[in-house]
Amino acid sequence: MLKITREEIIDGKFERVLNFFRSRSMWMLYYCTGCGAVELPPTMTSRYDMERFGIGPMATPRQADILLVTGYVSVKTLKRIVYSYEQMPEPKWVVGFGSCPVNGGIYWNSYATINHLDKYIPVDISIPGCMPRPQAVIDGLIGLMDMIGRGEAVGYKKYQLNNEWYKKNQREILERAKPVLGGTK
Amino acid sequence: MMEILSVLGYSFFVMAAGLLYMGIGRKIAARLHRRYGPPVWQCYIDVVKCFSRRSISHNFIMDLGSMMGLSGLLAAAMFIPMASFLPFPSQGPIIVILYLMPIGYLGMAMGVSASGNPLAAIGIGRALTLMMGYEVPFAMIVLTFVASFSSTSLVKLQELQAGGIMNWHMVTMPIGFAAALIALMGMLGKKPFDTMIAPSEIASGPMVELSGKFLGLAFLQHATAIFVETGLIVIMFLGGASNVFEFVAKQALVYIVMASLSELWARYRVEQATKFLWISAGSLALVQLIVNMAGRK
Amino acid sequence: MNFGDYLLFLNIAVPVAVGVFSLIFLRWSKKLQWILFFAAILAQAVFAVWFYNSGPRVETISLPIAVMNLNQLELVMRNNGIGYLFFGITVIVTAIIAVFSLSYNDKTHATGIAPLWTMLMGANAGIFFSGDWVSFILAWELMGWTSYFIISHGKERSGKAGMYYFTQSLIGTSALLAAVFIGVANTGSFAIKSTLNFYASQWAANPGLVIAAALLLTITFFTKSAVFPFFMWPSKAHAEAPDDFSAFLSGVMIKYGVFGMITLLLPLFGAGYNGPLVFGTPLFLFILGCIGMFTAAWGTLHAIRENDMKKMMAHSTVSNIGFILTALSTNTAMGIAAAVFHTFNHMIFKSSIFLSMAAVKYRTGEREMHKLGGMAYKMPVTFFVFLLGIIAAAGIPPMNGFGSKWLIFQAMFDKQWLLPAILGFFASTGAFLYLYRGLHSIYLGQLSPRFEHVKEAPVLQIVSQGILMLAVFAIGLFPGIFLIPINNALPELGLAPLTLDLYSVQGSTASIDITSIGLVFMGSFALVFILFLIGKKRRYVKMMDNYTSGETPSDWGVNEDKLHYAYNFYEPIEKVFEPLLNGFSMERLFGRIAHEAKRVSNAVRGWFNSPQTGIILLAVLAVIALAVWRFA
Repeated sequence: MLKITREEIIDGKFERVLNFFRSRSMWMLYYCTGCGAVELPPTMTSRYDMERFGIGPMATPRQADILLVTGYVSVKTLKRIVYSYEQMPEPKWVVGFGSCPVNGGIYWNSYATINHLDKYIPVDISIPGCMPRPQAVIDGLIGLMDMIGRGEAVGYKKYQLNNEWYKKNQREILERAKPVLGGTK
Repeated sequence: MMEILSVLGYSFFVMAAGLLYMGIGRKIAARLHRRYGPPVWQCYIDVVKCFSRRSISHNFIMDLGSMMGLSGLLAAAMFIPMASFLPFPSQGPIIVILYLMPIGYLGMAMGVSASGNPLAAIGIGRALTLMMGYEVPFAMIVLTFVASFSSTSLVKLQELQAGGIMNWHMVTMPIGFAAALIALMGMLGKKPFDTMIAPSEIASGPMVELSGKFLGLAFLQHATAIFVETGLIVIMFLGGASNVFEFVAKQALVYIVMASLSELWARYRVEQATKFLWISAGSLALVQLIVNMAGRK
Repeated sequence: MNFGDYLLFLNIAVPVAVGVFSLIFLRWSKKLQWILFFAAILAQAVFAVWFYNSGPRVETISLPIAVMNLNQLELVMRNNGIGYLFFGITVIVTAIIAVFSLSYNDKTHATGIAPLWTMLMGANAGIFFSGDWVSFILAWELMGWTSYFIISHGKERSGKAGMYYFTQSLIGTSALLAAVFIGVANTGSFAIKSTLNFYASQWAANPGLVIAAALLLTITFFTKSAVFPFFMWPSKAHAEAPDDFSAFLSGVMIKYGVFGMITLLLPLFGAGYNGPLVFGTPLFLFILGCIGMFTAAWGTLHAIRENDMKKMMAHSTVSNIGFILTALSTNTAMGIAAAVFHTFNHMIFKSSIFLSMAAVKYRTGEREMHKLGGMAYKMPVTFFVFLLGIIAAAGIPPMNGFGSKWLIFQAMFDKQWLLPAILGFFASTGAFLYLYRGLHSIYLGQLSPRFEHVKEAPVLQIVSQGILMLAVFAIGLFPGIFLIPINNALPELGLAPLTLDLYSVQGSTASIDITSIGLVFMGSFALVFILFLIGKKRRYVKMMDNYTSGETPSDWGVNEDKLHYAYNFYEPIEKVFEPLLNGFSMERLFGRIAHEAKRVSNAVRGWFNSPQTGIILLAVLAVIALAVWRFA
């Protein structure tokens, strides 16, 4: 990892003005990888309405700002998550949803999942819980909005600056996921 | 110089009004779902956020197409007489507007085709098929005005409705008004006719590869389309307006009715939607046309 | 023999002579044939300039042939307003196509059609300038069989298409001959004007005769211009003809019927008409107008179904001719001006579309749309030509199609023909569908790896396409370029000219300023461009880096071919119209008629094929000889 100071990486003054708008209109691509995704519909619908903060769903990575990784990340899914993350244009943020992206959760000793998502793509904010209730989800998203407002949500810059390190970690895992019995080609 | 400034101001006003209506529509939809919903200025924030993101593009045709999309719609909006403000006086505007809007859609279609995603092409194919569905009844309503008044000028139509609510074409031609509302539902792309966007079927159709400022331009194009279409209905059936606030209020009323109705229904398939538009809106408009033709003789 | 007196005849004789010369003596070099073709057209252009400066002229050649009650046969050529306009624009468009052909017919793609095409250009002039029936029919026949041989150009499939076209053309020519013979027998002179005056004056005395003559003339021009019910031949003939000739066929040749209707059919319904009127027009013309709109809608429906790009554009031509027919059926100044304006516009934008498709076919060899894709990334100029062409074909401002479409609709509104106008709007909106399909399937989408090597079209082809594209744009901005000459030619047909200038047109109920619409569009484009520059920067990504639900396409064996959505593009709407189009098919009807004719002719042939034929013939001859000897 590179050694870099806080002032160099945080968003500048002009970006902070734009961050006011970016934080109030976030569009998420919910990559529903695992069981955590079941807490998203209650958050979106009438009782815990998420749209009043300006957060809404979008269909493709090109249009979305937030990549929501809900639940455990199996080794196969990691390839797709990385591909989708790289297709998103900047600025973009990753929210780790549930305990599994933080430290593996209840699948910590499985051969088929990864334990620390932060080693493979930069996670800006994590919402722990198994699963986190809608109130916790909204709390985390509001925390992300504050981080963006202060200019501290700069995971995408970390990804660009430390690209080799991330790629090395990804390669280690994705080698394990190569098809053994002939593949799909 | 003043004219250029007024035209520029009018363009921004058109886009701003359209975004305001979209925001009001989202708020109404949310309240119908018994939740709070975003603030009415949410769409302005959305557009600024879109323009502040970096974007990707596949080739220069995609850039050109996105620009052509919005410019076609803005050119159509320039011919809508809003409360006696008409930057380019012209006497045959309904046909002109009806023919200027497709260049917007053609430009956007060209741009998203150039992105190379098959989902975009499917979305555009559906959108064009639906366009055939709603343009024919709408054209029949225009023909109705030609039958009665021998004129397609919006200014003249507005003058003919002066003198109180009983003179409005909404009251004198109710069948035509019903047909126009059904066609308007199709034009706005609201449920049950939103097969073009269809987020979970074809991943938002034409917008699949748009990001950043391209998505912002598409938003502005949608806002301008809302302004143009509701403006046409206001002038043709609701008596036009004598000042800006009345015009905006009438447009907002039309859009609120449309947005509320659209929350009731599910999405039609594209051939079902086209057939429905022809059969229901088309037959109503045909009845009105024949009534007007007979009344003129 | 003062050659200056016979310029109109020379205008026809020069290309025919050059064509015959290159057919007989220049078989060894196709390149020289094409150069001679281009030279002949330049000669005609020189003649055109000469005629413009010399004003209206009538030339006569008297042949010492005694026929009917005349001592000598007079061939007359008349330089009239509308004829000159048609001639001028066809020469210009064909010259541009000739430039394209010079480059298109290289070693691998050359066809031997240049001499026949040169002769055809002579016939072209003959049709527009004829003043008497003999020269008109000679020119018509020459045009007919040269075009048949060109469409067939030695291939079997094209031969079948050419035969279909020629058979329908024969129906038309027979009808023309019938109408001409009736007229000549009654007036005793071969001059066209006297025949038309005779027919126009017969409304009071013998209306059935006039209706019959009008019907025969209508059938002639319907077969030539592919109007219902003779409208399926363009999709065979235009598609199978050589690519540069397809542009000529669809652009120029199909307009001969329109010219015939304006100059030969409409004068019959002049001031002397006293039959039934519908909305103020004669009933016959109203029915023609409805048939025109029906053709427009029918052509559109067929075009939506097609997978072959040339067939699709041939159906589009049929649809546009329907619009032109309806406009000229209104028989008003606005209607005829709209019809002629749309004719000229159609010549230009349809030729540009066909030339651009020919350039694509030249580079790739493919004609089916779903096998192409992504051509715009390799051939950008060709793509722009096609794009402006289809914007004009859809009738969208700021290109030239909008002015003429607006005038056509205005002519219909002036006459309160509102129910046919519904079909017109349907056809107009349906045009967007198939035009966009052509644009997407051929030029946009994904570029197949088979066509990685494709380069832009050669220079001469780009030049010719570019000239047409600039013409489309210029006439779209300044419609007066065409409308002012057309307006000046209207008094000859007995109509009051319209009020118009370079920028705008004044109708009786509405007027329009077309230049301002184009300028408004360009202004808003400038504004949006500034908005585009304000946003943050964009970066370019590859074409295969697309939203594919997170999967990498190469993992699944998906290459560009599989990612290009082009086949069965409009399946939902095709399914809606399939019962209608399959149930009511003119091709099936004509096929059945041909089948029955074949059966009858086989039966008649069978009578003369038996071994006893010789004995029966001898017996019959003996009986006849006996009767003659006995009774004579």
